[in-house]
Amino acid sequence: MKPLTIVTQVLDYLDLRIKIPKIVCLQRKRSHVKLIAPRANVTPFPVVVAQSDYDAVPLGGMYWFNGQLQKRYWTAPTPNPETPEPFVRLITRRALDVQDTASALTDQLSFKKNPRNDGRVISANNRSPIRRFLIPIDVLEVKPVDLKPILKVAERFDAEITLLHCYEIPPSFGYAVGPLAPMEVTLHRDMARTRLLKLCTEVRKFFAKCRYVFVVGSLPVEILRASAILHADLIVIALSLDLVSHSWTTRELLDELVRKANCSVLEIPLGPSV
Amino acid sequence: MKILEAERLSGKLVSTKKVVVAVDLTKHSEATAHYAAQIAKWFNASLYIAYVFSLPPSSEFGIEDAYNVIDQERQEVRARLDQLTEQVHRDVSVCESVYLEGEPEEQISALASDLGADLIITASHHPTFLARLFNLDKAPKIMHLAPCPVLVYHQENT
Repeated sequence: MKPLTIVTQVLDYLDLRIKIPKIVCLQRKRSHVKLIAPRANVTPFPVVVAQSDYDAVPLGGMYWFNGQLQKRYWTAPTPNPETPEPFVRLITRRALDVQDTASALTDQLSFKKNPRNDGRVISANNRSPIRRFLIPIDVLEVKPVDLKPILKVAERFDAEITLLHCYEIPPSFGYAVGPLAPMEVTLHRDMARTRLLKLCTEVRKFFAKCRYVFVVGSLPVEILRASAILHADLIVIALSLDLVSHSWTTRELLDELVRKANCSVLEIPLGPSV
Repeated sequence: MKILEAERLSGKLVSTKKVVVAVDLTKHSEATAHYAAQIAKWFNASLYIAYVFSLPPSSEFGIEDAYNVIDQERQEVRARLDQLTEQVHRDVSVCESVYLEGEPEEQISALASDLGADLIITASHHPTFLARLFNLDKAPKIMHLAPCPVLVYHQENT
């Protein structure tokens, strides 16, 4: 294969991966904006907002209009058929899929009902200081009911949660021999992944803003990595959930996270009576 | 049992009325206090800014001059604590400063118990290798002793 062909293939692949997803923004009422977005592989990405009402440029965002970078958010110029569509760059460059980012954008664009401030945008000062929870769990032990206390807290903060399960190969699998041994590990891992999906589905029944991440590796390393990728505001460790790791106790894990995390860490203790 | 207890503590957190923020009055304390104020404001809770003054071990064998130096240091930290409280008071309606002496982790957990605090906020600023080696980081110790949920704040880019 010629080097040029390989380069072309690589460029094609990159082109495929970094294609700009078009987000169609439908404004039904002035009080609500719905975004419909296809799934994409990568972020950050520019978002094209195809809509007639330019008032709905996200708070804190920037957009291109007539080749000029506009920074006035709620008083955009009047559109006309000749002018190009505004080009909105999201301020939150998160490694999330487009659907999630679109939901975040929708949230930014929403005019929340507020008795004191009806019809006006809720300013950044009135927003929850914590909006993204990362909850490491051991999916083989945790049930949806165990998560309810944390979900109440997340609900109070109006936050979205990400359940993280870090898969570690159980030590007993060290005794597995023969050609089928790797398959056993794969099956066990897939079982854990399926349980996580099932748990997330059940949690979504009473807490809609729930996602999950399944990773393989060292528990603290993967928690820290996930918190950085997801731009989590808070890592929640409830001692009652008994995170099982072969190398780390929950207390050791907490200390490690407190020392190394780039976001806040919340510990919910067992309490004095236990 | 564990779940019930977790539910009780989470319930406290959901209806937070009293927040204790433990500061060390270093350059990061202002950010920590303001973060705590944001959370207290979100819950419409009272905020208590606590500082624990640790007496140096040499004070046990001190001469008069040493006591004078410690007294002077006390007055300085009290003034800084009041100044910080005044700054934060703009964000939260009920904000008080609490000055304590002793071991930080013990004093903070005792204060939280006495006040019936629903949340303790403290900060950790990625201590150096030596600080970790000598176990100087207070946040994990506070976590281990606290009677209520503890939130360890990390200021961005520290």
